[in-house]
Amino acid sequence: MEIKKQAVCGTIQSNDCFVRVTPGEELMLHLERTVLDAFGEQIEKVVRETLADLGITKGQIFLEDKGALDYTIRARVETAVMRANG
Amino acid sequence: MLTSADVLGADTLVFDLEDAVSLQEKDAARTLVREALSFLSFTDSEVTVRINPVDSPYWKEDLSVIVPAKPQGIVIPKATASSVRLVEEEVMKLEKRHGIENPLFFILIVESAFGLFDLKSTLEASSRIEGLILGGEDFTSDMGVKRTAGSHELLFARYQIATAAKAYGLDAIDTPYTDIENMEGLKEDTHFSKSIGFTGRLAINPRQVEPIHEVFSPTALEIEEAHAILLEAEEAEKKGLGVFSYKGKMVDLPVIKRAEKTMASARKWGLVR
Repeated sequence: MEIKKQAVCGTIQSNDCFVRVTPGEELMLHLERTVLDAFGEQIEKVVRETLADLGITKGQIFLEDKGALDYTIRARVETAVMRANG
Repeated sequence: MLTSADVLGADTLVFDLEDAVSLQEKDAARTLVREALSFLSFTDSEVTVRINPVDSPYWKEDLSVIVPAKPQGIVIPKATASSVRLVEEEVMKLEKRHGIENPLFFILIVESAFGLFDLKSTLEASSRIEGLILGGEDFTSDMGVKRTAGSHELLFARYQIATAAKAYGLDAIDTPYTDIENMEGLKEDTHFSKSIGFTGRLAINPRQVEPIHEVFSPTALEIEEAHAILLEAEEAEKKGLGVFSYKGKMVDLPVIKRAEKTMASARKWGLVR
Protein backbone atom coordinates (compact mmCIF):
# COMPACT_ATOMS: atom_id res chain seq x y z
CA MET A 1 0.00 0.00 0.00
CA GLU A 2 1.21 3.54 -0.60
CA ILE A 3 0.20 7.11 0.03
CA LYS A 4 -0.71 8.30 -3.45
CA LYS A 5 -2.45 11.56 -2.57
CA GLN A 6 -3.27 13.78 0.36
CA ALA A 7 -5.99 12.52 2.69
CA VAL A 8 -7.26 13.42 6.13
CA CYS A 9 -9.17 11.74 8.92
CA GLY A 10 -10.34 12.64 12.43
CA THR A 11 -11.17 15.87 14.20
CA ILE A 12 -9.68 18.29 16.69
CA GLN A 13 -12.34 17.50 19.26
CA SER A 14 -11.31 16.35 22.70
CA ASN A 15 -10.12 12.70 22.83
CA ASP A 16 -9.65 12.58 19.05
CA CYS A 17 -6.78 13.35 16.70
CA PHE A 18 -6.57 14.89 13.27
CA VAL A 19 -4.40 13.06 10.78
CA ARG A 20 -3.22 14.31 7.42
CA VAL A 21 -1.08 12.18 5.12
CA THR A 22 0.65 13.28 1.94
CA PRO A 23 3.00 11.51 -0.49
CA GLY A 24 6.72 11.74 0.22
CA GLU A 25 10.06 10.18 -0.65
CA GLU A 26 10.74 9.08 2.92
CA LEU A 27 8.67 8.42 6.02
CA MET A 28 8.40 11.52 8.18
CA LEU A 29 6.17 12.06 11.20
CA HIS A 30 5.08 15.48 12.38
CA LEU A 31 3.32 15.23 15.75
CA GLU A 32 1.57 18.08 17.47
CA ARG A 33 0.03 17.35 20.82
CA THR A 34 -1.78 19.07 23.62
CA VAL A 35 -0.85 16.51 26.27
CA LEU A 36 2.41 16.10 28.19
CA ASP A 37 5.49 15.17 26.27
CA ALA A 38 5.45 11.91 28.21
CA PHE A 39 2.93 10.62 25.69
CA GLY A 40 4.84 11.77 22.64
CA GLU A 41 6.90 8.58 22.41
CA GLN A 42 3.84 6.39 22.81
CA ILE A 43 1.93 8.29 20.12
CA GLU A 44 4.85 8.01 17.73
CA LYS A 45 5.15 4.27 18.49
CA VAL A 46 1.46 3.68 17.75
CA VAL A 47 1.65 5.67 14.51
CA ARG A 48 4.75 3.83 13.30
CA GLU A 49 3.28 0.42 14.20
CA THR A 50 0.08 1.22 12.35
CA LEU A 51 1.98 2.39 9.28
CA ALA A 52 4.13 -0.73 9.37
CA ASP A 53 1.04 -2.95 9.59
CA LEU A 54 -0.29 -1.20 6.50
CA GLY A 55 3.03 -1.57 4.65
CA ILE A 56 3.64 2.16 4.45
CA THR A 57 7.33 3.00 4.12
CA LYS A 58 7.18 6.53 2.80
CA GLY A 59 5.03 9.61 3.14
CA GLN A 60 4.50 12.64 5.35
CA ILE A 61 2.27 12.02 8.34
CA PHE A 62 0.89 15.02 10.24
CA LEU A 63 -0.94 14.27 13.45
CA GLU A 64 -2.55 16.79 15.79
CA ASP A 65 -3.45 15.01 19.01
CA LYS A 66 -6.22 16.12 21.36
CA GLY A 67 -5.81 13.39 23.96
CA ALA A 68 -6.68 10.42 21.76
CA LEU A 69 -6.16 6.93 23.12
CA ASP A 70 -4.10 4.43 21.14
CA TYR A 71 -7.12 2.83 19.47
CA THR A 72 -8.31 6.18 18.14
CA ILE A 73 -4.87 7.04 16.79
CA ARG A 74 -4.66 3.66 15.05
CA ALA A 75 -8.12 4.05 13.54
CA ARG A 76 -7.51 7.58 12.29
CA VAL A 77 -4.11 6.79 10.79
CA GLU A 78 -5.45 3.67 9.09
CA THR A 79 -8.42 5.48 7.60
CA ALA A 80 -6.28 8.40 6.36
CA VAL A 81 -3.87 5.97 4.70
CA MET A 82 -6.69 3.97 3.09
CA ARG A 83 -8.19 7.19 1.73
CA ALA A 84 -4.78 8.21 0.40
CA ASN A 85 -4.37 4.86 -1.31
CA GLY A 86 -7.71 4.82 -3.09
CA MET B 1 -18.24 8.77 24.19
CA LEU B 2 -16.89 5.40 22.95
CA THR B 3 -14.24 5.34 25.67
CA SER B 4 -16.63 6.18 28.49
CA ALA B 5 -19.55 4.13 27.18
CA ASP B 6 -19.15 1.29 29.66
CA VAL B 7 -19.61 3.50 32.73
CA LEU B 8 -22.85 5.07 31.56
CA GLY B 9 -24.97 2.34 33.11
CA ALA B 10 -26.81 1.21 30.01
CA ASP B 11 -27.66 -2.47 29.67
CA THR B 12 -26.81 -2.47 25.98
CA LEU B 13 -24.66 -0.06 23.99
CA VAL B 14 -25.39 0.58 20.33
CA PHE B 15 -22.42 1.91 18.38
CA ASP B 16 -23.97 3.57 15.37
CA LEU B 17 -22.66 3.36 11.83
CA GLU B 18 -25.95 4.53 10.32
CA ASP B 19 -27.76 7.79 10.97
CA ALA B 20 -25.14 9.28 13.31
CA VAL B 21 -22.46 9.04 10.63
CA SER B 22 -22.26 11.20 7.51
CA LEU B 23 -21.78 9.47 4.16
CA GLN B 24 -18.21 10.79 3.91
CA GLU B 25 -17.22 9.29 7.24
CA LYS B 26 -18.67 5.75 6.99
CA ASP B 27 -15.18 4.28 6.49
CA ALA B 28 -13.73 6.18 9.45
CA ALA B 29 -16.62 5.23 11.72
CA ARG B 30 -16.41 1.50 11.09
CA THR B 31 -12.64 1.46 11.59
CA LEU B 32 -12.94 3.46 14.81
CA VAL B 33 -15.64 1.15 16.17
CA ARG B 34 -13.59 -1.91 15.19
CA GLU B 35 -10.57 -0.57 17.06
CA ALA B 36 -12.70 0.40 20.07
CA LEU B 37 -14.17 -3.12 20.27
CA SER B 38 -10.70 -4.63 20.13
CA PHE B 39 -9.10 -2.26 22.64
CA LEU B 40 -11.73 -1.38 25.23
CA SER B 41 -13.23 -3.69 27.86
CA PHE B 42 -16.96 -3.62 28.30
CA THR B 43 -17.87 -5.26 31.57
CA ASP B 44 -21.20 -3.68 32.48
CA SER B 45 -22.92 -3.44 29.12
CA GLU B 46 -23.62 -5.64 26.13
CA VAL B 47 -22.12 -4.19 22.97
CA THR B 48 -23.93 -4.03 19.66
CA VAL B 49 -23.35 -2.17 16.43
CA ARG B 50 -26.04 -0.66 14.24
CA ILE B 51 -25.07 -1.29 10.63
CA ASN B 52 -26.36 0.54 7.59
CA PRO B 53 -29.54 -0.80 5.97
CA VAL B 54 -29.29 -3.45 3.27
CA ASP B 55 -30.53 -1.02 0.61
CA SER B 56 -27.36 1.07 1.19
CA PRO B 57 -23.91 0.39 -0.32
CA TYR B 58 -22.34 0.19 3.15
CA TRP B 59 -23.85 -2.73 5.04
CA LYS B 60 -21.63 -5.53 3.75
CA GLU B 61 -18.46 -3.60 4.45
CA ASP B 62 -19.85 -2.70 7.90
CA LEU B 63 -20.27 -6.38 8.71
CA SER B 64 -16.93 -7.44 7.21
CA VAL B 65 -15.10 -4.93 9.42
CA ILE B 66 -17.20 -5.22 12.57
CA VAL B 67 -18.06 -8.92 12.92
CA PRO B 68 -14.42 -10.03 13.36
CA ALA B 69 -14.17 -7.53 16.24
CA LYS B 70 -16.84 -9.60 17.98
CA PRO B 71 -19.54 -7.31 19.24
CA GLN B 72 -22.24 -9.32 20.98
CA GLY B 73 -24.94 -8.26 18.59
CA ILE B 74 -25.90 -6.43 15.44
CA VAL B 75 -28.72 -3.90 15.25
CA ILE B 76 -30.48 -4.15 11.91
CA PRO B 77 -32.24 -0.96 10.80
CA LYS B 78 -35.32 -0.90 8.56
CA ALA B 79 -35.81 -4.55 9.38
CA THR B 80 -37.91 -6.75 7.14
CA ALA B 81 -37.88 -10.52 6.62
CA SER B 82 -35.66 -10.24 3.56
CA SER B 83 -33.18 -7.81 5.15
CA VAL B 84 -32.84 -10.02 8.22
CA ARG B 85 -32.15 -13.07 6.05
CA LEU B 86 -29.56 -11.19 4.00
CA VAL B 87 -27.76 -9.97 7.11
CA GLU B 88 -27.83 -13.40 8.72
CA GLU B 89 -26.38 -15.01 5.62
CA GLU B 90 -23.50 -12.54 5.60
CA VAL B 91 -22.91 -12.78 9.35
CA MET B 92 -22.80 -16.57 9.20
CA LYS B 93 -20.14 -16.46 6.46
CA LEU B 94 -18.04 -14.06 8.52
CA GLU B 95 -18.44 -16.05 11.73
CA LYS B 96 -17.25 -19.17 9.94
CA ARG B 97 -14.36 -17.39 8.23
CA HIS B 98 -13.12 -15.89 11.47
CA GLY B 99 -13.83 -18.87 13.74
CA ILE B 100 -16.34 -17.00 15.86
CA GLU B 101 -17.98 -19.54 18.14
CA ASN B 102 -20.57 -17.39 19.91
CA PRO B 103 -23.14 -16.38 17.30
CA LEU B 104 -23.99 -12.70 17.22
CA PHE B 105 -27.56 -11.89 18.18
CA PHE B 106 -29.80 -9.47 16.31
CA ILE B 107 -31.88 -6.57 17.48
CA LEU B 108 -34.28 -5.31 14.85
CA ILE B 109 -35.45 -1.78 14.31
CA VAL B 110 -38.92 -1.59 12.82
CA GLU B 111 -39.28 1.81 11.21
CA SER B 112 -41.64 1.57 8.27
CA ALA B 113 -45.30 0.86 7.64
CA PHE B 114 -44.42 -2.33 5.80
CA GLY B 115 -41.98 -3.38 8.52
CA LEU B 116 -44.73 -3.07 11.11
CA PHE B 117 -47.35 -4.72 8.92
CA ASP B 118 -45.16 -7.71 8.14
CA LEU B 119 -43.76 -8.21 11.65
CA LYS B 120 -44.62 -11.88 11.93
CA SER B 121 -42.60 -12.79 8.81
CA THR B 122 -39.73 -10.64 10.00
CA LEU B 123 -39.60 -12.20 13.45
CA GLU B 124 -39.63 -15.67 11.94
CA ALA B 125 -36.76 -14.85 9.57
CA SER B 126 -34.04 -15.70 12.09
CA SER B 127 -33.59 -17.44 15.41
CA ARG B 128 -30.94 -14.88 16.39
CA ILE B 129 -33.43 -12.12 17.07
CA GLU B 130 -33.45 -11.07 20.73
CA GLY B 131 -35.01 -7.64 20.64
CA LEU B 132 -37.35 -5.39 18.74
CA ILE B 133 -37.04 -1.62 18.64
CA LEU B 134 -39.55 0.88 17.32
CA GLY B 135 -37.82 3.52 15.20
CA GLY B 136 -40.34 6.27 15.79
CA GLU B 137 -38.79 9.06 13.71
CA ASP B 138 -38.35 7.02 10.54
CA PHE B 139 -41.71 5.33 11.06
CA THR B 140 -43.60 8.62 11.18
CA SER B 141 -41.61 9.85 8.21
CA ASP B 142 -42.60 6.74 6.25
CA MET B 143 -46.22 7.19 7.28
CA GLY B 144 -46.11 10.81 6.16
CA VAL B 145 -47.38 12.03 9.54
CA LYS B 146 -46.09 14.64 11.92
CA ARG B 147 -44.15 13.71 15.03
CA THR B 148 -45.81 15.30 18.07
CA ALA B 149 -44.92 15.79 21.72
CA GLY B 150 -47.77 13.51 22.78
CA SER B 151 -46.70 10.73 20.34
CA HIS B 152 -50.28 9.66 19.62
CA GLU B 153 -49.18 9.02 16.03
CA LEU B 154 -47.06 6.16 17.37
CA LEU B 155 -49.72 4.52 19.54
CA PHE B 156 -50.65 1.71 17.18
CA ALA B 157 -47.03 0.95 16.36
CA ARG B 158 -46.02 0.90 20.02
CA TYR B 159 -48.78 -1.53 20.97
CA GLN B 160 -47.94 -3.68 17.96
CA ILE B 161 -44.21 -3.84 18.76
CA ALA B 162 -44.73 -4.57 22.46
CA THR B 163 -47.27 -7.32 21.70
CA ALA B 164 -45.23 -8.95 18.93
CA ALA B 165 -42.10 -8.94 21.09
CA LYS B 166 -44.00 -10.60 23.92
CA ALA B 167 -45.47 -13.20 21.55
CA TYR B 168 -41.98 -14.18 20.39
CA GLY B 169 -40.25 -13.89 23.78
CA LEU B 170 -38.16 -10.87 22.80
CA ASP B 171 -37.19 -7.65 24.50
CA ALA B 172 -39.44 -4.79 23.41
CA ILE B 173 -37.46 -1.56 23.30
CA ASP B 174 -39.34 1.68 22.87
CA THR B 175 -38.35 4.53 20.58
CA PRO B 176 -36.15 7.27 22.08
CA TYR B 177 -37.66 10.24 23.81
CA THR B 178 -36.11 12.98 21.74
CA ASP B 179 -36.56 15.98 24.05
CA ILE B 180 -33.37 15.47 26.04
CA GLU B 181 -34.03 18.48 28.29
CA ASN B 182 -37.40 17.21 29.49
CA MET B 183 -36.73 14.58 32.18
CA GLU B 184 -40.29 14.67 33.53
CA GLY B 185 -41.68 14.10 30.06
CA LEU B 186 -39.25 11.21 29.58
CA LYS B 187 -40.35 9.55 32.84
CA GLU B 188 -44.04 10.00 32.08
CA ASP B 189 -43.69 8.61 28.58
CA THR B 190 -41.51 5.75 29.79
CA HIS B 191 -44.11 4.81 32.39
CA PHE B 192 -46.52 4.53 29.48
CA SER B 193 -44.01 2.35 27.58
CA LYS B 194 -43.78 0.00 30.54
CA SER B 195 -47.54 -0.08 31.04
CA ILE B 196 -48.13 -1.47 27.54
CA GLY B 197 -45.45 -4.12 27.71
CA PHE B 198 -42.14 -2.60 26.67
CA THR B 199 -39.19 -3.98 28.61
CA GLY B 200 -36.75 -1.18 27.86
CA ARG B 201 -36.13 2.02 25.99
CA LEU B 202 -33.45 3.56 23.80
CA ALA B 203 -31.58 6.45 25.39
CA ILE B 204 -30.02 9.07 23.15
CA ASN B 205 -28.25 10.94 25.93
CA PRO B 206 -26.41 9.58 28.99
CA ARG B 207 -28.68 11.63 31.28
CA GLN B 208 -31.63 9.55 30.14
CA VAL B 209 -30.22 6.23 31.35
CA GLU B 210 -31.00 6.55 35.04
CA PRO B 211 -34.60 7.81 34.65
CA ILE B 212 -35.29 4.96 32.23
CA HIS B 213 -33.81 2.43 34.64
CA GLU B 214 -35.91 3.83 37.47
CA VAL B 215 -39.09 3.24 35.52
CA PHE B 216 -38.30 -0.26 34.29
CA SER B 217 -36.84 -1.70 37.46
CA PRO B 218 -39.30 -3.03 40.05
CA THR B 219 -39.89 -0.90 43.14
CA ALA B 220 -38.82 -2.04 46.61
CA LEU B 221 -42.48 -2.61 47.46
CA GLU B 222 -43.05 -4.70 44.33
CA ILE B 223 -39.99 -6.80 45.12
CA GLU B 224 -41.03 -7.26 48.75
CA GLU B 225 -44.52 -8.34 47.73
CA ALA B 226 -43.28 -10.68 45.00
CA HIS B 227 -40.84 -12.30 47.42
CA ALA B 228 -43.57 -12.77 50.01
CA ILE B 229 -45.98 -14.27 47.47
CA LEU B 230 -43.34 -16.75 46.33
CA LEU B 231 -42.65 -17.83 49.92
CA GLU B 232 -46.38 -18.31 50.51
CA ALA B 233 -46.64 -20.20 47.21
CA GLU B 234 -43.92 -22.57 48.38
CA GLU B 235 -45.81 -23.26 51.59
CA ALA B 236 -49.08 -23.70 49.70
CA GLU B 237 -47.47 -26.19 47.35
CA LYS B 238 -46.25 -28.26 50.30
CA LYS B 239 -49.82 -28.40 51.54
CA GLY B 240 -51.05 -29.40 48.07
CA LEU B 241 -52.93 -26.14 47.54
CA GLY B 242 -53.16 -24.65 44.00
CA VAL B 243 -54.75 -21.40 45.13
CA PHE B 244 -54.27 -19.45 48.35
CA SER B 245 -54.95 -16.08 49.85
CA TYR B 246 -52.36 -13.32 50.39
CA LYS B 247 -53.41 -10.09 52.13
CA GLY B 248 -57.02 -10.88 51.37
CA LYS B 249 -56.48 -11.45 47.65
CA MET B 250 -56.61 -14.71 45.76
CA VAL B 251 -53.26 -15.89 44.48
CA ASP B 252 -53.31 -18.37 41.61
CA LEU B 253 -50.80 -19.39 38.95
CA PRO B 254 -50.81 -16.14 36.87
CA VAL B 255 -50.13 -14.11 40.03
CA ILE B 256 -47.29 -16.46 41.00
CA LYS B 257 -45.79 -16.19 37.51
CA ARG B 258 -45.98 -12.41 37.70
CA ALA B 259 -44.16 -12.54 41.05
CA GLU B 260 -41.48 -14.76 39.51
CA LYS B 261 -41.01 -12.27 36.67
CA THR B 262 -40.73 -9.42 39.14
CA MET B 263 -37.98 -11.25 41.02
CA ALA B 264 -36.22 -12.11 37.74
CA SER B 265 -36.38 -8.45 36.76
CA ALA B 266 -35.06 -7.43 40.19
CA ARG B 267 -32.13 -9.81 39.77
CA LYS B 268 -31.52 -8.52 36.24
CA TRP B 269 -31.37 -4.92 37.47
CA GLY B 270 -29.09 -5.97 40.33
CA LEU B 271 -31.63 -5.09 43.00
CA VAL B 272 -31.49 -8.50 44.66
CA ARG B 273 -28.98 -11.31 44.50
